[in-house]
Amino acid sequence: MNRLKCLITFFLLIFMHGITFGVITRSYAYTIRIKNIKLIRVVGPSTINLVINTSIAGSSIMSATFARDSSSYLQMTSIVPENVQRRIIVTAKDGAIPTGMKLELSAGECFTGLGDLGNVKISPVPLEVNIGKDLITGIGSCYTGTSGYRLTYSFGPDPNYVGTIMFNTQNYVSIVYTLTE
Amino acid sequence: MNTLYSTLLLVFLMMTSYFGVYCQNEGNVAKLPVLMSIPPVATLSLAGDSLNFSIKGKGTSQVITPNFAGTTWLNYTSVVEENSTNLISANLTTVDLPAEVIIKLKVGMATGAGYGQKGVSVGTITLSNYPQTIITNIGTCFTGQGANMGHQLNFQWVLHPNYDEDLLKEYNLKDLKVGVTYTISRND
Repeated sequence: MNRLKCLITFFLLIFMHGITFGVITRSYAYTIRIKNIKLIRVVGPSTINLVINTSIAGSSIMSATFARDSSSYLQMTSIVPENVQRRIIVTAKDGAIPTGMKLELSAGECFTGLGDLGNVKISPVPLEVNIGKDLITGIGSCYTGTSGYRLTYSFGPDPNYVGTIMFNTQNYVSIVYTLTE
Repeated sequence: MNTLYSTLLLVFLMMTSYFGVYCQNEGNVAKLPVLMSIPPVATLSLAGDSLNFSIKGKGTSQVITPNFAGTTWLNYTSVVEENSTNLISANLTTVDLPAEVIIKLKVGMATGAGYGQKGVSVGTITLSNYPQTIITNIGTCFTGQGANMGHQLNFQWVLHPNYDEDLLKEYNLKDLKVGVTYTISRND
C-alpha cells in the first residue's frame, strides 16, 4: 500500500511539474497584405444635357447663355503604397466640343468620407478632346463616402471665338475620369 | 405588408432611376456622356429716344410720324446654322399712307459694341407694305443693347415727284402715323 502511495505521489509530482514548468512557446508568422486599391465612379443622371440659351436681343452670347449642370458626383476609394500620391485626370473623348464653345469642369470639395482626399483645382478645368487634365491631385489613402466630389459642367461661348459658333442640335462627348499615380 | 414592399420597391426604383450609377465604371476609370446643344437664336429689338411702340422678339414694330426726329437703333442677337445667315426685313404695317407720300429708311452700318459676324446694311430703301431686306449676311453675333449699338435707322418723309397737291390736301399730314415692322429671319 505504501508502495502504491509512493507511486501515485511520484506521478502527481511529475504531472504538476509539467503544468508548472512545462510552458511550450510557439511562434506563428502572419503576413498582412493590404491591397493597392483605386476605384472611382460617377453617380448621377445617365447623360448630362447642356443647352445654351439667350432671348434678349443685342445681349452678349457670352454672358447670358452659359449652361451648367451640378447633378453628378465623383466617388472614390484609394489605398496607396507608401510615399505615393494619386490624381484624377479628366479627358474628353469620343466626340467633339462645338466650335467656338467651351466645356469646363470643376469639382467641389468633398465633405464626406475620410483620409487624404486630395486637392481640387480651384479654377474650372477647360476640357479638350484627347488631352488629359488634372482635376484632383494629392490623393492618398481615403474614401469619399456616399456623397463625394460634386461635379459642375459648364458649357458656353469662348469669348475669343463667338463669331464661329453655329447652331447645333446635338453634340456628344464622353468625359473620362481616371484615378492614377 | 404587400403595400409596404411595393412602396419600398417603388422608392428604390425612383432612387436608382435618378441617382443610380449610370456611367460606365471600370475600376479606376469612369465615363459619363455629355450632350451639348446650341439652339438657333434670332432676336431683335429697337432702342432710341422717341420710340412710340416696340415689342421685343423676332418681329418688332414702331410707330413713326412725319415729325419723328429721333434716332432709332436696331439691336439683335443671332446664332446661325453652318453655311447659313439671317437677314432683317422691314415693311409698313399701315395701309392708308397717301400715295403721294414716300418714306425712305436709311440703315447705317453696325457700330458700337458687340461681337461676331454682324450684318451688312443695304443702305436706303423706300418702305412699302411688302417686307424688304434692310440688313443681310448676319452670322453668329450680338450687337449690344441700347442706343448707339447696332444699326442706326433714319426716316425721311418725302413727297412723290408727281404728287397731286389737291389730293394731298385731303390728308392731314401732321396726324399721319405709320407703323413699321422689322423681322429677323433665316436667309433661305
